[in-house]
Amino acid sequence: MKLPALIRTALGGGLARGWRLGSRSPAGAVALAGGIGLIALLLVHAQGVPIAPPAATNALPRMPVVPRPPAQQPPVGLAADAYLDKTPPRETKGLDLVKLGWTYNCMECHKLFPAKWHYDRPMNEHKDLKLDHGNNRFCLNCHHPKNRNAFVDYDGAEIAQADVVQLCAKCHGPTYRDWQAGVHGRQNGHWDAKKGDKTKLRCIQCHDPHAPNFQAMKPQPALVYPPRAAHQPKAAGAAQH
Amino acid sequence: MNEIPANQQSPRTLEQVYRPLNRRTFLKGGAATVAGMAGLVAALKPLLALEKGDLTLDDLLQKHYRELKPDELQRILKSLADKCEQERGVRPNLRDLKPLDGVEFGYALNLTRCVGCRRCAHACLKENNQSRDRWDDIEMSYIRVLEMNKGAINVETSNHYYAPETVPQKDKYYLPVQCHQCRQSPCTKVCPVQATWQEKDGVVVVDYNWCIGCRYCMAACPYDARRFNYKKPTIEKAAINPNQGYLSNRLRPKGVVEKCTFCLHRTREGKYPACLEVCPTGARVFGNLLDPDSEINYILNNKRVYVLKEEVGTLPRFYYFFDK
Repeated sequence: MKLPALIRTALGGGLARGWRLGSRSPAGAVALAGGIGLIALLLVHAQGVPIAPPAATNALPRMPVVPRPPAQQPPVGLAADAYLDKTPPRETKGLDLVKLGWTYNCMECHKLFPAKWHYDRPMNEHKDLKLDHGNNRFCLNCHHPKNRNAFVDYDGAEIAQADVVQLCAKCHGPTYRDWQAGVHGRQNGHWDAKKGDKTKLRCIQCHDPHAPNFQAMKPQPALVYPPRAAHQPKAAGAAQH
Repeated sequence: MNEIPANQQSPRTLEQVYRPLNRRTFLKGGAATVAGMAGLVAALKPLLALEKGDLTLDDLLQKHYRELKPDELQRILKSLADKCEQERGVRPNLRDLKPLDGVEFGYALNLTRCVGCRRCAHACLKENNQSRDRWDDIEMSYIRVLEMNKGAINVETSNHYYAPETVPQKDKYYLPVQCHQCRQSPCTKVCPVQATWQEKDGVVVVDYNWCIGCRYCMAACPYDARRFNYKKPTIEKAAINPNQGYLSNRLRPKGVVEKCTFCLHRTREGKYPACLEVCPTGARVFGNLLDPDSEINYILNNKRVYVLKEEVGTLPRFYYFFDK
């Protein structure tokens, strides 16, 4: 039952960092992991990617680390404004999985797993997820327990992936109101609706839903301090005498 | 009292009376004549530029922008475009966009959201063809991002040279400052030749062909919003934005003042300004103050709005606001 998924994982996911282990018992997991590692070794080696040998009886084999290209956001704004750097603060991750041949059908795997509020072992699949979203400590705070392709509403109804704004609006009412008014979030294109359209980014195009605070970013180069000046620039807040 | 009789004059020589040309007066007069001629030549020197082709007769005899007839303006636009193509190798799409009816621009900036990444200041360069020796030289950018200490809005302890590894820094917030397009604009009042004025849509513009470079406006501006071309602008051919407006981002000559125009070559075509387009956090809001449903009016009606240096009475069209 798991075999097709495993082979597909070894083929496509061997390049990515995801491995699907269905087994519960540690011994079974190790055995299964060894097998996966062997398949992956054969398959991945054939593609010329160096891989660490599957090792140690009491540890999972080290996964090959493949550098991931930064994902491109879909273009925003006008084509004529391509010379302006409109990179949003978030690098998307989902899109490069799609590039690697994945689909967004979460239920391919999740039909195997029962929906639980809390798993007492670390997740194997979504290891890169760091949940830092206030009180939302559980997947099922937002994801639908029966259908992982959807989000969950107050009453247990499904919110489609495309309507993710409605999900965020459940808690972030004032922000949602501002977003609707066009005052929160990025807008690009035309301010004048008579002259043309504007593109409006949705919540998760800027915010990582699992850790919605913006990551600190590198500032663009500073104003050059005049070389003719005698003193170094004073730091903001330096004592004024 | 010993009065001197009226007919009794102090003795004077004949030479003193008739002042004939002697060596001293000859030299004096000669020097004065030479100086006068030199002054005349200096005054007519621009005509030499005319001879060399640096200046056309149209430039020399051009009227003030607001007195130009449409055909005269078209001729000037064409000659400026020709000059740009000849000097820089780029044929600009140079237009003169008039203010839209029923539009008054307003700008708001969310101080809760701004992280101080300076993308706006750099986008301003890309859009407005400012002079720069290197790609990252933002000396002439119309936007200065000030790093401020949390707890007060005190520009005296701010720093616009900040360059940490990452922003935002703890205990700091960031205040980008650009032209506030004031309703009571001190810069336009001090201009001795009326080379800068407020347009109908609120944008304060400079006619670079009329500006004499006295920089009174720079001294009058409380927001340090104006920049001066101390030298002939240097800009790489590849960096030139060909989408240009006569009153905004066309290539400037040496010795004139320039400033933010809310990207009027964009905004008068209905587009957002360049600084708003690139803001990664969406801290910038732009719109029509006369449209009650506009985004800018939503800010003014619903948010805590702050006006920088309100006490100087300039009544800006640029507002800062807070989310929390």
